[in-house]
Amino acid sequence: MRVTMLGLDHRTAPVEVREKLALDSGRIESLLAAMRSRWQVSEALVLCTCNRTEVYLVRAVHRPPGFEDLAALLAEQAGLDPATLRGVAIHREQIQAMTHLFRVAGGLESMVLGEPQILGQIKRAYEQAQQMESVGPILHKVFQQAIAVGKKIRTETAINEGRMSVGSVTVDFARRIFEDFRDKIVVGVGAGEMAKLALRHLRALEPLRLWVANRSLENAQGLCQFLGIKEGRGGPRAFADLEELLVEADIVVSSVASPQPIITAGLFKHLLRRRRGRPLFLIDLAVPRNVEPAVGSMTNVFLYNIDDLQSVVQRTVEDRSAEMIRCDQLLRQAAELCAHEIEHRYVGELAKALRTRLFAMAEMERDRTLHKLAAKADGPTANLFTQALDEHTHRLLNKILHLPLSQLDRKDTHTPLAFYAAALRKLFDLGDEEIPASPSPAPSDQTTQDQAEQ
Amino acid sequence: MHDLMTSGIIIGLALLSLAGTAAAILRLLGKLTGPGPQRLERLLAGVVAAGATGLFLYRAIVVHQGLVPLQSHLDGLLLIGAIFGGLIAYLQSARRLPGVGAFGLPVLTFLLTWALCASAWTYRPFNLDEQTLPTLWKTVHLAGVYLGTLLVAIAAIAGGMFLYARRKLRRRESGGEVTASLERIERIIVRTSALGFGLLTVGLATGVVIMAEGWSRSHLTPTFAVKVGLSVGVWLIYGLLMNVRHTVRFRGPRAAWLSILGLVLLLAVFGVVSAMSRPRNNIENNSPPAQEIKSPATLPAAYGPRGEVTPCV
Repeated sequence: MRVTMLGLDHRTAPVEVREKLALDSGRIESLLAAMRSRWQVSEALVLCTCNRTEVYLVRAVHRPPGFEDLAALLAEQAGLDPATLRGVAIHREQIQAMTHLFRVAGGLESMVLGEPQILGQIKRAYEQAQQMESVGPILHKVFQQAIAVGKKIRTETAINEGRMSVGSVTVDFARRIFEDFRDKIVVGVGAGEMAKLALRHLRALEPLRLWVANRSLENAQGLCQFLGIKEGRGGPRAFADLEELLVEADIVVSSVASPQPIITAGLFKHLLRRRRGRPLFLIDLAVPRNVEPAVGSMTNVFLYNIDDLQSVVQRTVEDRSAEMIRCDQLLRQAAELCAHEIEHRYVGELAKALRTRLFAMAEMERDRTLHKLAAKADGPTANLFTQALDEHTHRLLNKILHLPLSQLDRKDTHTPLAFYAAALRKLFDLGDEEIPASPSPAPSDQTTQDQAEQ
Repeated sequence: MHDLMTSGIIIGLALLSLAGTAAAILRLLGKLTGPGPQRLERLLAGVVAAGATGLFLYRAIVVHQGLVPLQSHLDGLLLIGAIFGGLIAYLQSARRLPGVGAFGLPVLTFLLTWALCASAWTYRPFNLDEQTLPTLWKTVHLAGVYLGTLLVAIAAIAGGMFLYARRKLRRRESGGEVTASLERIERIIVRTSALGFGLLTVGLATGVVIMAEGWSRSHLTPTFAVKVGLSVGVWLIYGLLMNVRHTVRFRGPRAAWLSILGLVLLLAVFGVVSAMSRPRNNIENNSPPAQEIKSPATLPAAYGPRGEVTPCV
């Protein structure tokens, strides 16, 4: 049995392709049904979020669907050209497929590194597949392990700590100064791109008012519209109102193209008394700087420039790089363990099939021998012969099977199990892997517990 | 009364609190990351709070064998230790005040160390004799003083947190544990110091009544007079600080420094009065139990016929 994954995500596929593969539960059900009817896949699951669509399935080693088949089916379902899909698809097999899923669960493949929503989405996809009775023992194992690994990564590593953009760092610092933003006034000075980004983040905090002061009132108006500022909650202001705005503001984002500072220590000192000691968070995103550094040393003023914010972003990137190494180790260990357990389960099934096959052959031969002896031996002697022959056959077969099976079952070697297993199946004509008629129930109520925790 | 078991348990609790302090400080500085140290910190604060509560009850039921649990300075320290530890554990588990462990647990350790001194070396029971004044007055007095001190201590802790958080913001540091916002911490300083000031006022007012009664019965001691004098002084200073804090110039860091100064002054009163008064008994002299001390007839002659009222030492 092989775990196969085929999918695409925000890194490989543009939004035009992703939106066509944004499958609702009805389409997921029909996709699963198509896979069952075409290839008799024993287990399958579809994970579909706004950034990714991935199909996980379990198939027999030498049976379809391969990459081409799956890509063709997905393209058919999405109404896409198969060639287009093949160009953007990610295809993984066995341990690589598991590692990929664990990375997704840990948020390492997400647009925002370490974001927690994906774990809930995986749980929902798994639950949906359970309801559709399309998961069996292997996908139960893989997905339960993925959910556990996802949790572990978030609790044991700092992968989702820190901020990755200047805008979110600005908000973080603002939160370290102010508790409640509903009574705060945010002022944007200038309507440049950087100010736009920072103000967009600050707008999400729902401040009491958000003013934009700019030399061009038209540009200020445009920025206000972009930010979606409602009537009475702020709006554009003339640049001449700057002093007044500095008195009433709690947060000021400045990004004006000016060769000279526009907020000088002299100007601000004069305004401090009127501010009545209220803290002021000043973010100077302009180069050359708009705010004189001396302003930052005044009481209750917290002045940050673009370098300060970018150095925080850089530190987060460095910290996360270190955490990525830890995450990779965790993921690799978990994926190896999971793959190992699945392979050994497969070996167990193979051993059972091999034993059944050999004993069936032995039984046929024993019957033939007994038939020959029946003419020469009377009743009690025939019984003795039968017993002796049975014991002999059992001992012989057990001894023959013991060495190869114990070699296959050894946990300390990197035996290419799939290769040997396929060889055994071929040599002893055991046929391909059995495909269960109906999937077995979940081995534990882990998912239910997880849902309850959530 | 002193009790070896009490001292032993306090030592254990102080060590646990010290371990929690170390974990909290390392976490604040970013030397320890992940949820493990945070869980440990929370667990230790909870265990210390539960231990202090248990010890407080044990002393009330087993040692004092009465319905009045607050019979000595040691009991008072255990009471505020239990409340304080519980508060830290709650704030940590509810994530209401990030960073509180690094500032609160050292104070809890200090309280427990002080309780150890009060248990092993400077044990001094309160005079709860009904012949002087109804117990209610003294209970209100003690509650006012201890709870007031607790709130002043919380204000001072918040002051420390404010200064640390502000320093980090000023230095543009982003590593380590992020503390609560300056606005929230300042709000805590305002509320706890105002409430603490109110309770200290109640404690002082009832103390004046007790003092007046003492004068009428002429058994005031020099220690008592010094304590009352210093307490009034601290109360006046703290009251002054409370009012100037509301002016524009005293917002932010100055308010934080004033809240710390308020606690330092309060501890100075405790320290001075403690230094001026002699302990009733200690572990070595195998003194009689509290019930015996309460009775004037059974007091050792060296401590006078009634025993002085020394509730805040």
